[in-house]
Amino acid sequence: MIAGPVVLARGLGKHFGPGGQGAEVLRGIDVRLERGEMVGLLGPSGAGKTTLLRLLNASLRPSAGTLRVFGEDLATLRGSRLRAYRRRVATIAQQHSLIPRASVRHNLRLGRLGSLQLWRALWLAALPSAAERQAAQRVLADLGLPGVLEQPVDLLSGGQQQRVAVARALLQGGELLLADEPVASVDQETAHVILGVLRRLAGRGHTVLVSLHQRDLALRYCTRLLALEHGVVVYDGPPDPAAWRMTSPAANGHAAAGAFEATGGTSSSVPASYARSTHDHIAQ
Amino acid sequence: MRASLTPTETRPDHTTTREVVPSAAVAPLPTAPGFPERRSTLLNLLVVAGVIGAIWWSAAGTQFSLSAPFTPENTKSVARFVAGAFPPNLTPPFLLTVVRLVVETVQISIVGTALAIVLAFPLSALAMCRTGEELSRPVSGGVRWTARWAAYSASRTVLNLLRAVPELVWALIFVVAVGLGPYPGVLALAAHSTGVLGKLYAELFESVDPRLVEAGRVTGASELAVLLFVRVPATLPVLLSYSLFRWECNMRAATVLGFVGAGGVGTQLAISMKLFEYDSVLTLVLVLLALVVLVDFAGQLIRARVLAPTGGAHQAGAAADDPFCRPCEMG
Repeated sequence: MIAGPVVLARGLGKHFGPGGQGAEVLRGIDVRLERGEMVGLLGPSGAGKTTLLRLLNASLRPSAGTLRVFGEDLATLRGSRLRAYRRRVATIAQQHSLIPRASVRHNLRLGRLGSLQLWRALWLAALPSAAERQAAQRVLADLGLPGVLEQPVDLLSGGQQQRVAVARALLQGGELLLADEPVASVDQETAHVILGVLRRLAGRGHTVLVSLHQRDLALRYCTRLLALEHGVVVYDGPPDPAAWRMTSPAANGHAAAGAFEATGGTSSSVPASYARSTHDHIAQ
Repeated sequence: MRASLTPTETRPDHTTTREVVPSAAVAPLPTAPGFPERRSTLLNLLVVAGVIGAIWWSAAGTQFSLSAPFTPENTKSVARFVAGAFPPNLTPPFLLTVVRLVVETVQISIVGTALAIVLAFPLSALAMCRTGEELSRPVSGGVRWTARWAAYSASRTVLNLLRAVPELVWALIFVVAVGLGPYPGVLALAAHSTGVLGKLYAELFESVDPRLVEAGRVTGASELAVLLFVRVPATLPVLLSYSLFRWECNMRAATVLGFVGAGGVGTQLAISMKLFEYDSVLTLVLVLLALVVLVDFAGQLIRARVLAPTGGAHQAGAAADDPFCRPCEMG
């Protein structure tokens, strides 16, 4: 369908603040993503992972370099062309992307908001259709979350909410899927379910870019790894632990290197969110 | 915002333990910049003197007097009023009129509020700043930007104008325009409430979590779709609560519209006052009191139901989802 690469970034940079004078979050990013790849985006907090994903879903405008996705230059997209582009890119936000009191069904419909006609969306809000229900239930079942379709989202646990957010992005059906720490607030078992679904998607020819904190999961599921530190790419290559370990500490200072070692998931540095997700798991 | 409550904050804990903690143990904590030991006493005295002066000046300007109600002349007229008011007028024909007028008052408030909600929604959509990410914002100076700016300014001006004029003044205007009766009352309430609700709605829509709005936009949805399917559902309980509160206010406002001939129970109140029928006035005041208490109670019941937690949120550990915190958190 598309001849060239799905994503092509050259010298991509992003500053925040007025006139690009503020903090430089990304600089000199050269990345090329092909169809069917599942690329793990790694790096400590503040490395620029979320910013890169927000540049890719056209929430932010690049301040330097070029960024082309599906052959479209993202710096010049506007209006209906911007919306048409965004329909092809599904995003799983890290959190706070679900409407708390609305039902799971309503939240899932938001994924298709770009492609539904307005009158059709209003119609569906009043009279749910069987086809929509079936599609939603199939995706939810894939994610191990059956029978929650009519529940308000704030009745679900954090891990369940995360899976609803994943389901919403899957129902949008974009060719490029961006996932911002989709397994940060779920237990290990759910993390495997979610990443397995994403991997299968990549197997069907979609392109998946997923930011992760857990090194073992990244090594296991991704076809390629991309590591960021202080806004620059420090590793881009196969998920080979040896090659990666060689690159990371040498390329940067001790603090960043320390961050990488510890994301290995040893019990000593389990983040607070894990203790909580274990809790969730028992509650279920 | 909710920084302290975000469950998935994965700031690298290890760096904290490795670097920050040892150095923090050595270096003393920075002391908070304190207030000076003594604040200027002179300034305090000046402020107090200023406040007292303002009250004194205003009391003089309004001929306020504590003794005036107790002059023989005034006590006599108060006694006359009280004597005339008891017992209240409970004759069946008068009560029938009162019931008819009370029903009319309630009807005026209901239609007026409904009309205001319908008119306020599109106006608020135009009077809303589009919060959120940078790509959806039109470039300043372009045709789209100019149109958007014109619509924004126009709707803000209309809302301000509607809100600035009180209900009673609107009623005077509409009585002139469409004649006496409950109809100008409905228009008066609708006009003022549209101004109030339009501004409140616009601010609510702006206050929706920008991450939520972005999640809607990145699916390729239009601004209108984001408004209808993200901003409205996200603020629905507060929207309903504000609208309901407006109905309560309109209920109270509708009771005095009759003073200027715009229908409702105020019509009879003005007539009875002019005819010195203080027993009828007392009946009307008691009925109004009952009505306001009733509406207050009904409003409380409905609000409690609308804002009630969906339950289970606490078991799920989502402490941040306390619905009573939501309006403040959005601000």
